[in-house]
Amino acid sequence: MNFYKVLEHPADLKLKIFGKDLPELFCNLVKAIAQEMRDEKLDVRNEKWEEVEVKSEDLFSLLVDFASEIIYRSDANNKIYALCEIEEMSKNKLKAKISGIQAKKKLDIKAATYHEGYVKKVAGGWEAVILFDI
Amino acid sequence: MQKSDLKKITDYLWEIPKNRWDKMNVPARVYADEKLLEKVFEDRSMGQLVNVATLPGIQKWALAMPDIHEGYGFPIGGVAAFDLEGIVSPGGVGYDINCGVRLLRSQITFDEIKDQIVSLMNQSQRDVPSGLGSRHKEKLSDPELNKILDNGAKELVGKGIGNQNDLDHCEENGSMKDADSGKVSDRAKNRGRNELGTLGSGNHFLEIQRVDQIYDEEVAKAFGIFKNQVTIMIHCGSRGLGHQVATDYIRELLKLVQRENIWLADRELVYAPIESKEGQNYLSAMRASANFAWANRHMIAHLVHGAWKRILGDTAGSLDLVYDVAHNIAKIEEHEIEGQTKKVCVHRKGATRAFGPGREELHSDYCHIGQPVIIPGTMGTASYILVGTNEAMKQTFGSVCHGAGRTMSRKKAKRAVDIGKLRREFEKKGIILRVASRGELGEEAPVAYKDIDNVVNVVHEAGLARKVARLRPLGVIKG
Repeated sequence: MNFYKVLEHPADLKLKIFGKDLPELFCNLVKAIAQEMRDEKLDVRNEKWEEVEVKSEDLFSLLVDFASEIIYRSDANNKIYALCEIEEMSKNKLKAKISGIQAKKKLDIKAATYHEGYVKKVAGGWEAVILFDI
Repeated sequence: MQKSDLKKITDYLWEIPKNRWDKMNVPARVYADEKLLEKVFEDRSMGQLVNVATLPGIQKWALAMPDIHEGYGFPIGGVAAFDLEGIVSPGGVGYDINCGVRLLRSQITFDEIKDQIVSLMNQSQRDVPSGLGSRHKEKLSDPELNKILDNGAKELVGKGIGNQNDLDHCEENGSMKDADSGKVSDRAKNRGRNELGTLGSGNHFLEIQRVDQIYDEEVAKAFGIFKNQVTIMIHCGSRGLGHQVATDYIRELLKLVQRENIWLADRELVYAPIESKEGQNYLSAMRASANFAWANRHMIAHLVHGAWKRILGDTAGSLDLVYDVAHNIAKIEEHEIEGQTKKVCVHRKGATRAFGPGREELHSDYCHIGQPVIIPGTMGTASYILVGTNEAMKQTFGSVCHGAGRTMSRKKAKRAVDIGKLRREFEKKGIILRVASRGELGEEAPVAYKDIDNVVNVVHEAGLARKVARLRPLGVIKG
């Protein structure tokens, strides 16, 4: 099974992400963003890790806020982040390290939205839906 | 929701009554003819409009323009006004704060430069960074960027870039008051530091056009528009800086709303009372982002002017600003409500201000006749110049549509469009295309949008703005 899929939306980018547990789900979110930005495999080596810490009000907000962090760094540092390791995680807080490379992008993701998304436990793991403004 | 839930007010106006849902504070209204109304129900935009009608302090109606389509929180093509005891919602402005359109007029006709259009396109593409991650090499320092955020295009005119006409013919004179760079995060500044004078990507574009039809000679003359004239249109916004300001404030306000357990029909409708510290901080940062967007379009116009002179020389004359309008913005304006003039906070998300004659916000060049309203078409189709009316003041808080409005997802459009065929169609029409990627061409193909002629006709027939002129593309640079 793919780790994410693109859902239909008339104007923006709606993704469904899968993971066997929450750390994998959140890392798959990072990879899905990278895949959509680049649309091909990236040769990212874990040479330079960047620390990320996010604190939110609930689990879904944590997902959106983590995505916002990735989008910000991606834009400000002109990078695509495709490697992720979650170091600590609770329902409203996470500490992760990410790594990326400078690469030409094919999609500009402006922002992650809180619109109608979710994070939920399903048979065999977790899934999340999130809408990006593009 | 379906058509039978709507009450027909006129041939171009439909209403969802307030009693449809006990959480609605006002009715919801959509401007559309029968044909466009069918399109409206192809997505969930009407449900989103009804959600807007639940917000506290909303005045008269939650409004949707004929280019309405599904967004998040507010629909795109939405207009809502709140009294000053009410709220401001960053989601009602959107992430691309002051995305908007600027129209420049030349003094020459298409026939005079038709052999140089390709060179002009190439030079403009070289001079204006466009496409994904388009940036200048030089980064603005904090003091330089702060001045732009606080003063907008006025700051650039003060440095000898452009002239007073560029400010007179711009909504808010290109410099929104009460902007505060201090309320814009360092993160937002980092995203915008080297993006001033860049087009970006997505549906943003730079287009060289020809005036192919005049509908109202008198108004066209007042706007300096004549048949076969060459015009240039610029569509873009506040780039990454505005996106980050929206992200920062939506996140902050959502935390407050969650802590106070306030009910929201959609999280992206998150709001703060206008008079609260949080509401005021957002408005100050949003105005600063709007100023950045005006400075951005001003700078792009300056770069295009340079390309124009380089290719055509001094004999081709200057490029002057007809008008510059914002599409995504919240503004404190005076409107008549229940017979009283009242200050309200008008949110336009994918909607254009269209003030009628007599409004003091308009420069004396246009005050007697009404505001120029610039409506861009989709890639390869016509764009329009309209003029604002007093009917818009009564019905829509002085607002109209902002474009054609999407009907097809980017993914579906990419699958549906034969790129080779599309390119041949453009060639047949004599339109020169400069697009960053093949995918982008498919995503932005006219088939993915509503018919712009239909959308503009609804606005015209409803009396919200009158058609003045139609512009046909000669060349398009897509980001």
